[in-house]
Amino acid sequence: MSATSAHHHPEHGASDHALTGFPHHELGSAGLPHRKILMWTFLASDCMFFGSLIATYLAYKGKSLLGPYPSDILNIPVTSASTFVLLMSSLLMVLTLSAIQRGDLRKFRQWCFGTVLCGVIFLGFQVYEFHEFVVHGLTLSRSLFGSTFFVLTGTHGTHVLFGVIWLLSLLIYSYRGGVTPERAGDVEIAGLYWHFVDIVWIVIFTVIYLVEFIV
Amino acid sequence: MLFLSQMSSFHPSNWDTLIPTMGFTVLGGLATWLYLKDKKKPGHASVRDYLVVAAVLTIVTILEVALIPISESGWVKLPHHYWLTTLYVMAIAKFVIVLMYFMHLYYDRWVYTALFGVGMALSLATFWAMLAMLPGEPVRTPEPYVKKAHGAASPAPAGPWGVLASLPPERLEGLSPEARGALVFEGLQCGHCHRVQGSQVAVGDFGPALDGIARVAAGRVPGLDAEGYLRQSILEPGAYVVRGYFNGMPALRARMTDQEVDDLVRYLLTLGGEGACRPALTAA
Repeated sequence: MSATSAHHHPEHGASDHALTGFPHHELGSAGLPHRKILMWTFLASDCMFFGSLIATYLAYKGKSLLGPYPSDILNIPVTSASTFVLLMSSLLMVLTLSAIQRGDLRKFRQWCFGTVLCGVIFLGFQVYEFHEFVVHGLTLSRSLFGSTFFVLTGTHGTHVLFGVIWLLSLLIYSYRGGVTPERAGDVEIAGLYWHFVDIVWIVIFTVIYLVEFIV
Repeated sequence: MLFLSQMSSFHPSNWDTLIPTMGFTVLGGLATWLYLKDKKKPGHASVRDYLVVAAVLTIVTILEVALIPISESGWVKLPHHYWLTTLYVMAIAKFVIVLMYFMHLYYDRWVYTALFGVGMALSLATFWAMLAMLPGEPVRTPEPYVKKAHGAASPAPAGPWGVLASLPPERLEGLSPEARGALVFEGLQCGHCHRVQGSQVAVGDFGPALDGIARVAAGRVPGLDAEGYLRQSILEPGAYVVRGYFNGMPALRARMTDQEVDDLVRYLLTLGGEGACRPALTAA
């Protein structure tokens, strides 16, 4: 390791490690952390995944043969509430990262727990909504709306679930001393994933819910 | 743009495809700006910055949702696609703000923006291409948002304005009833289930093909002449179902004015072409 400590990256000196949040050996020759590049590339591919699902929803919009139709069962007030919850979870996520970058472990755990809680509340809203829709007769196989809606929002909900599990794991890991400012990059990457899930929801909320009722 | 010519005449403007284009441009501009700023800008957002961003996001979300009652109230009268654009612009703004500040792209090395930007660009391009290739959605004027009673599911949005009301009046000028009927056929997307030979859009197999319907209509149901049969098929689709097909035709009465029903029947009576209705491809 002594050979590598002689390297001076243009953007990073020894004192910058606390800022980058990644150990030295995880940086490439341009000073870019491998896992961060990986996460951004993954998010770029996830864009294409959700892009195709949203495009499919729009392609089949208005073409269902059978009700219930979107205007019958979509509930704007409730979904606005869940959107707000998810938005706030993104705020809590940046506070989580900020806390661990400062070395404040107690605040880290506090905000991380808050983020997880918001994620779980959002999932609760989704479960409630799905249940209501099924009770009203909208299932995956009922109509084009049923198929496209449940696949799109279900995929998003699954992403949220994975994010919740990830953050919960980080929270538990922090009690075993695994989360430190030098490795704040771990939290940063989880944060990137979480924010991405939030911005996808921003698009879904607009395209499925709001566009339906705009006159 | 060849693909756009296949769009249904009921798509007043192709805003669903313009949105990705707009998004594309915004992201391209963002990437360029970030690249130019890359060398000069260090630093991090402070906690206070994050709170400000969160407040902005909340306010924009409230405004987005508020657009619904505002647009319904008629207090500001704008064409439908103006409301849509406003909505989309706000959504894109929130998207970009979270990317820049919460996801740190504003402060980070440009390469991350480039990576994400490539994915976004591919996604938007595919999105746009797909929507451009498909017939536009029929413009169903939505009813004002009213929470439905438990268990109630209306078959279709009711309205006295009918199907043709969303077309510009010049479009309907000087048309014969049969030609207007053809537009009603298009607007209700009958072709989605009922094939009509020679049409690129009416290709559906869910219901009987309508070629030659004018010739066979009279003999279908005893007591109904051709016009009567067609009316019954449209207004009470479940009353007589052609053998081999399922009873799945939606209730369309509420979506047409009386004049439009007449015009549609007149149009269908012109379909006396070769070939009777084909039986279902698979037995019901």
